[in-house]
Amino acid sequence: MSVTVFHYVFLATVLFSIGAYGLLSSRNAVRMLMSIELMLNAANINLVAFSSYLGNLSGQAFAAFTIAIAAAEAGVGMAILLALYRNFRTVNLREIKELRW
Amino acid sequence: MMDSLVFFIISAVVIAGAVGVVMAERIFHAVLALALALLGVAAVFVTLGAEFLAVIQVLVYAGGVVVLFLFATMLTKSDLQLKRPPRGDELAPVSAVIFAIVALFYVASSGFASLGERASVIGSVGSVGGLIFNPQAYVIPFELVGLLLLAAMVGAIFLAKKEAAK
Amino acid sequence: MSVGEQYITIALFVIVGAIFPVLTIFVASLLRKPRTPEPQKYLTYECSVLPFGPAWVQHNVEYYMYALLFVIFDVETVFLYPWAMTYRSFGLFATVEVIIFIAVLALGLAYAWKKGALEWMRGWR
Repeated sequence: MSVTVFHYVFLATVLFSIGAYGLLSSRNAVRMLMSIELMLNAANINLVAFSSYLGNLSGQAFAAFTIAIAAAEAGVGMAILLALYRNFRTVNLREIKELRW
Repeated sequence: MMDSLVFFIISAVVIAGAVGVVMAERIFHAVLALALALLGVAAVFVTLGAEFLAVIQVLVYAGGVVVLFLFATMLTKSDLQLKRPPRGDELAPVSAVIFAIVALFYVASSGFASLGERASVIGSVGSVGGLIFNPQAYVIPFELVGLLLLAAMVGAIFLAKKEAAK
Repeated sequence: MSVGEQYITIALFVIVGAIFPVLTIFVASLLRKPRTPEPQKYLTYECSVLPFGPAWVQHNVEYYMYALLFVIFDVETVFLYPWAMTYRSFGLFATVEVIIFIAVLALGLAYAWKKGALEWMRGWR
């Protein structure tokens, strides 16, 4: 039995689902950002797997851009979180009731 | 045979790390589990022949983003993760599980396995860089990444530095 | 060929690196278990001072500034490396491209400098 692209897509789907579960079920903003990173990584695995099995390097170039964008996203997300913490003294998003209906 | 063994070991590490991120009681342990998952993804890239991406993954993710998360955890106080979601919140995890079942069913019924053997391309620094810097390929996305990083840096400094300005 | 032979070395390093701390901590726990247990002996060793308070202390935002700038310029460096590898084939065009890229990020560095993000604990002096 050899490893096919199916195995990689399956792994990426499992990783994405775990990330989605973490994003929806946790109340801590730091953990939610980490779950988003997991989902981005799942997307990257898909890009690289198809790029590798189709013999086209474009997917890998795009995955490189995705990683750069994920770093920028983490930086801004964490800055928002720090601003939030400064105003509310908590990172528990269920306790922050302002701007919510 | 050797290939599938390596693949399953690496997949187990990645999924263990991901489960640790979601389930760990303390947020600090979740960050360490995230580092494990990200290093595992770098190993997945290596098995796919994407060596440049594996290097980026270790340098930017495991070296940079994880440190960012660690500092954010040290700067804030967070309570422990609940074993099960609070009352009235069960809908969100249930929908995630339903999503997982549907997506896995779709992947299993698709014809991805018929794509055959891996093409023997190696995503080395030179070959991927040759695409990024090629005038006919991804010049514009590359410059846009520069602009995005500038916007992210300015925005993050503006948000995080407000305290000192007061 | 899917997993290069040279990665076996790296895999060995990873395995040894994972086993080493576990083994040393296990051996240390065998060696330094006190024979006459007292509560003081189980305290965290703090250089002859009794530890107080939780280990989780509030750090100041300067740490975050350093991590943020590190990540941004980390990404910049990662993109400069393939440029150096492909310099011969693209020449002047790629060089102009990279100069624009660096100039854009230098703007960000100038902003960080002006906002005082590079200073350690502004206002303490």
